[in-house]
Amino acid sequence: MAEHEVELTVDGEAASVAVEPRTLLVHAIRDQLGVTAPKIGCETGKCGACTVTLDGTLVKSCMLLAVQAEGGTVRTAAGMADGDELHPIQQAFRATHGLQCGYCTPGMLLAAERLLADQPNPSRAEIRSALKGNICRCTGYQHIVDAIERAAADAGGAP
Amino acid sequence: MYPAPFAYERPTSLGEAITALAADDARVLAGGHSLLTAVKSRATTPGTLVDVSELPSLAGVDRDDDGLWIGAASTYAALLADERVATVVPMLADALASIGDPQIRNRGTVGGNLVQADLGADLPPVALVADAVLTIHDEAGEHQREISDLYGEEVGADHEPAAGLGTSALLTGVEFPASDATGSAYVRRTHPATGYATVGVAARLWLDGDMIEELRLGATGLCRRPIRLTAVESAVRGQSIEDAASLATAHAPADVTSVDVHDDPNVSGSFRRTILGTVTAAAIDRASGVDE
Repeated sequence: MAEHEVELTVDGEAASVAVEPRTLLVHAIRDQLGVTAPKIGCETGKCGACTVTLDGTLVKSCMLLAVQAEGGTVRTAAGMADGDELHPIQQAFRATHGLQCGYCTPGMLLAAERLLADQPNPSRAEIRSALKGNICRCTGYQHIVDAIERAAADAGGAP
Repeated sequence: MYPAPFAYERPTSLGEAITALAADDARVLAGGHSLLTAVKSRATTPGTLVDVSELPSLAGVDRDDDGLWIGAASTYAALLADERVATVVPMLADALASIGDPQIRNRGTVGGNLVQADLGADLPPVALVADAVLTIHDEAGEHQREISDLYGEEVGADHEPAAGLGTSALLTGVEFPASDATGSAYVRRTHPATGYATVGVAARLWLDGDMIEELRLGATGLCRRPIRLTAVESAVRGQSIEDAASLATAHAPADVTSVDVHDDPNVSGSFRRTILGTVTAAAIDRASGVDE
């Protein structure tokens, strides 16, 4: 099949990738652009390890074709830190042991960032609801919810 | 997972889309959240995917005295953010909110949900209860179809679109006619593995005081098409809302006696039959408290 040239911006870097129509966005990001923050988990749209934002919208990058991201702006968890300075949400995950193996974390961080942008002071139930599309098999979610509560508090939300 | 190769087209007009869909093995790609899963597992192997997700004719919401028109490529999230949806068709807002998770709601589309009609899809029973009218474009032009045409006796093979639509036709919009019902609601029990509805029921209710004047019920998750629960509807008509739950649980089995109820390793067909009555009762109860 003919390849398509796809222009997109990933974590602030403009990029151009030649992809087959069947290439999933997560494969283009990881294998062709070398940005390995989004992980490949279930590839059926359930686990959320491949979560990125596309033009500000939270999506699972295994559920889009790379050609569908033409002209789009992608943000991955790799774009969250400012050099060596972790993003406040990353700091909160670290401080509360919000991860064990870390595989789901890139998706969790972006889901948390999206939630806090929409709702700066979420309840624990709202946090869990926002994480419904992100599966963690290590933590039982308690510390992840703690981390997001802490990130909200650190950013000035109550308590 | 590497899908089998296919071509990709992104038409910029409705005419171009219809032309592209005339190819034998072309399929419509909108949100892709049913289709791409099937393409990745090679359960279906289209030759060309025609991406209609950004066609202006399939976008937007319009409300007038006749009802609510929804562009087929509208995402669930966009509709949940539009207060007209919950105002005009409360059961539709319930169903949209119960779908998947935030990421899925950001990409999945109304048109895809209705046409793909996966087992346990939440929107088909709502559309059936609402007597939704489909706007369809094909080579002959634009025409309207009743939602019940789409779900005839069978919807089609797994992973294939609803048989009633025609292979080269494109669903562009869905009209939910205005209703004078007292209330409506959708309630589902979520499947533990798939995230779809194990059983979901849409209810629209007309009350005169405590008396149920009229009730329309649609169920999903039982087989690969939504079904009306006519036995419960007639049992409850003219009765008090107080008695609706016991009547629903008593009469729901009669609505599935001739249905080949889906069985899977997580949820047996008999379990689906068993909970149909309680999910129906919950939908009626919620509909009685949600103004339409």
